Amino acid sequence: MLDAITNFLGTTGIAYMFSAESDTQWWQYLIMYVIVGALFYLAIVKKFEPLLLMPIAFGMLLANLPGAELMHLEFFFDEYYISVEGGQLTGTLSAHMTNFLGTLSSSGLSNLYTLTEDSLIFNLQDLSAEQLASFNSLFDFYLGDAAAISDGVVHIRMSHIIKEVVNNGGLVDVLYLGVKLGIYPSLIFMGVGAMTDFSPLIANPKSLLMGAGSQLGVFAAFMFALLLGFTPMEAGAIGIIGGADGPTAILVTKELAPQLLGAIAIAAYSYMALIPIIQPPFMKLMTTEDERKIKMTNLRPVSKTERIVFPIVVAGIVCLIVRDAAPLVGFLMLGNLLNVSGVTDRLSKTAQNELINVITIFLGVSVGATANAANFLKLETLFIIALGLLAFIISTCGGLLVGKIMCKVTGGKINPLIGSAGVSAVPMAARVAQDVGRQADPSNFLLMHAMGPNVAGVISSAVAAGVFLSFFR
Amino acid sequence: MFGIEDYSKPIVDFANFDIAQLGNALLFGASILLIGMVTVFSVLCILWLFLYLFKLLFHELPAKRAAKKKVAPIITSVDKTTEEAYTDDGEIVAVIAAAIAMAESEHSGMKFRVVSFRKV
Repeated sequence: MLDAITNFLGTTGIAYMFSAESDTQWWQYLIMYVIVGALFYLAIVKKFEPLLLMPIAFGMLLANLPGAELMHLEFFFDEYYISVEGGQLTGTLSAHMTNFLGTLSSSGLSNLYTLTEDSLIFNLQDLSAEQLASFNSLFDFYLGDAAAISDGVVHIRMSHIIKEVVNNGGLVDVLYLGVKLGIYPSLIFMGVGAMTDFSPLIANPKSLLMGAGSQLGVFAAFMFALLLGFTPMEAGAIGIIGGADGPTAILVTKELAPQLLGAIAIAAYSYMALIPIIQPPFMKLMTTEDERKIKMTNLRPVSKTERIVFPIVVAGIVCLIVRDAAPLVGFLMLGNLLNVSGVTDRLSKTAQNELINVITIFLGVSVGATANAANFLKLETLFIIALGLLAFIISTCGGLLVGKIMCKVTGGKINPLIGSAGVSAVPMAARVAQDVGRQADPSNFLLMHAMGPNVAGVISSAVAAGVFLSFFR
Repeated sequence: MFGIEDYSKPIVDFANFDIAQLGNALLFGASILLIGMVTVFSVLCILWLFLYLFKLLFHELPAKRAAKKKVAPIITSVDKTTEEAYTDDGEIVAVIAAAIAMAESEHSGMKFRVVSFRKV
């Protein structure tokens, strides 16, 4: 009886927390629980982006339950399958790779690969087409089902990752496939498109420039991240926090730096929730009292034809120029077309209600679950949080700067405050512009004018994401 | 590009730091900043151009056509247009509400309250 109780106690999460089996120290678990508690507080008590912070915080809690193993982040990294440590191959596919390299060596082709202390690179540049075909067929024989070679580097095929997740993964691993395959961000963008009215942008296309100016923080944060020693791929993922767009940040990060996904998603959504606190001081700093009092003339009416043609044209143009932005902009515009066409009401309602709600739960939980103690409690996380804040501030100032220039050029017809709404975060950034404008003059109505740069910011941040993906993917 | 091809490695290595690395990172970062901003502005300027065409095609051209029609003395068609324009209750409500809101804000002493809406 006593043995049974002792055995049971030995299998509990608390015992696992203090055991040598766990690769996380007990105090690291406790720190994570404090962070989870803080996120719950922000979501439930302060009501900061609760729809997203709540699932993210719960995902973090699930990922940090000792021994529960609901999430295996390592399944999604190439290093889990093949890596090199001290000149030796490790990982689940190391035996296959060792056999392949052995065959190459026994055939006198050992010059085709370089095995160093920490890397394995294939040198295939000088091979003729015939030799390359022979090499590829041999590689396919040993590893073709699981891996492929691109630019001399081995990458694990998605089909093999899915097989590993299905065979050995937990519940959250399965949900995370939607992030890894880029499904969730695009579907969320479809819902956002269905909920967004682009009429203010169509009526005042000049506001596109303010959305573009607000991407300054994205690229500036990229530069500062490089200076802090992040890789260009990580810096791109960090910079996109400045776009103030959660799905975009997640899509870029899962492609360029999946190991930073938890920290970047939490930073992005937290700062989006804190926009009413972050933006106003800089809006007041960069504008004069007289500028804030400027009243803008009413926008022209927008016809139904314009609203229908707009998403088709935008999807076509943006995807033709920056094709890596297609998953985001394409689905954003599809959602909008479902709404404005007037003939697909059922689809539109599904996109903006049930579908986006389901996806939000899956996305939040699986992204939060990437923030386990081993992955999250690093100096890098603090840098990411600081750089994210910097990106937000510079993006706000970039939009305001373009707003000020346009105010001067138009002879004072544009209130520069609406430039601050160029960071995406629809519609909160536009509401902040409205609030600050009304503080200067209570009879000032800027909301509809600020919605123009606001929705332009959504398109701009997707384009900025496409720029990073086309450079670094 | 810019002499940096392996994007999976940091440009600034703090373990073996020298100032040239910092300069290299700064140059690379500034180049991407410039290219990125130019790309974003270019794409959005093209969109702006298309939206300007929208205005010409779908707003100003129909307005001119409507103005021409108004000149023609066909009373029945004018009546139909007028009738169509005033059948949208939501639009009438919005116009009245906006007018009241403006009046309230400009003359804080005046008070209006909408009691009912009637189709005319």
